[in-house]
Amino acid sequence: MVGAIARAEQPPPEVVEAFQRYNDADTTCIIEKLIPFMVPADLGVYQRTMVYVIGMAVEEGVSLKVFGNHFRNADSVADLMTIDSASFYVGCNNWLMDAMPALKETNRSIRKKLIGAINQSPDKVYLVYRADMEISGVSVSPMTALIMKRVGSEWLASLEGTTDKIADQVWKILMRNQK
Amino acid sequence: MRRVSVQCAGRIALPHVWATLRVLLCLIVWLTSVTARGEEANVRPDSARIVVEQLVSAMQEQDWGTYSSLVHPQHLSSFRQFMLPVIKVLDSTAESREILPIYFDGAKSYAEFAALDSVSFFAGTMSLLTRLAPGLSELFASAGSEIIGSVEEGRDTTHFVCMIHAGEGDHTANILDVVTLIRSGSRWCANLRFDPERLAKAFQK
Repeated sequence: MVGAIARAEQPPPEVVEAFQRYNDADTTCIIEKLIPFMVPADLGVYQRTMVYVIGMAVEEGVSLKVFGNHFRNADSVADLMTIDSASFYVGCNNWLMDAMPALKETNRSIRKKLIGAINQSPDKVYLVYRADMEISGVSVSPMTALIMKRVGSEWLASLEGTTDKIADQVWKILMRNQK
Repeated sequence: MRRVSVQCAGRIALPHVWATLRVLLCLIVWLTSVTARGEEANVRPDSARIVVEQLVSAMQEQDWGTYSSLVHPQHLSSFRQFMLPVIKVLDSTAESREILPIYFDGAKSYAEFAALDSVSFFAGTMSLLTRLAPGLSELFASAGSEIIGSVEEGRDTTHFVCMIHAGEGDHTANILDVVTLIRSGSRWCANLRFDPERLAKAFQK
């Protein structure tokens, strides 16, 4: 299944700084603030994946009206692909937070402690951290990983390995409304 | 659920992948923690990696007996404690009374379920859940895990960063996750992480 695997190393200081900037923006729950710290290409993948899931939901009878004004001027699934990917990401995540009010409070409560890193290549680092948070009053501390990628001279947070988790959440919420 | 095929930007997927991914995540991602078996087990990270591979292999083959033998005994015990009330509810229906003994070593009453050891109980629960959730068996069979690397935390804990792939071809979902192993004496052990609420919901479905 695997060959030799990478061992933990110290992450480059600039990666830690980029992670900190991303983390600071994340805890504000203002999605627009995250965009400058994210890999632009991943936003495009995110959009294609979510539009695909939303398209499936529409075929199941879900109306785009459930998104309220989060996707302005989108009257059809095809229209969703005409939105720029950053705006789509902001709209989709704002809708998610509206659909799951507890998510915002949980996000605000998250305290991330960096445990280590796997420097897979000069342009890609996996950060491993413990996310202390409260969910419905219960303290939990899941171990989490985040991929950081170098784009030009900047280190940015990647949605790789995360987008499908969110897609599952979107699908679940849309189907919940169908029941 | 009606099977639909929607194409978007070159991707085609099946709804059941999304519908069952939650259950898969519940069982693989949040459950995956392992312990090395037998007297030959040692505490080197390489042996821990092998255990992670064994766990994934057992999951793919749905060999829940092997899978449960790889899980930390203490956490299996907690799992059993949480799930017994769920089994008690299932035991109250006539249909379940016929099905349950097949997956729980022939236990015919709640008292007999409660008497099962944690390993048998966990294996039986997984077999039952796989049978009850449509598409789950196929998803387990198709799921794989790529181990990216490991990060040590102190002397007794190693975190493996994994990319879990579920589904096939264009239907594949990629999930980044961390599998944690802990050391207990001469063996690698690990958390049996599970979200009781999610698991209960999976059974309700």
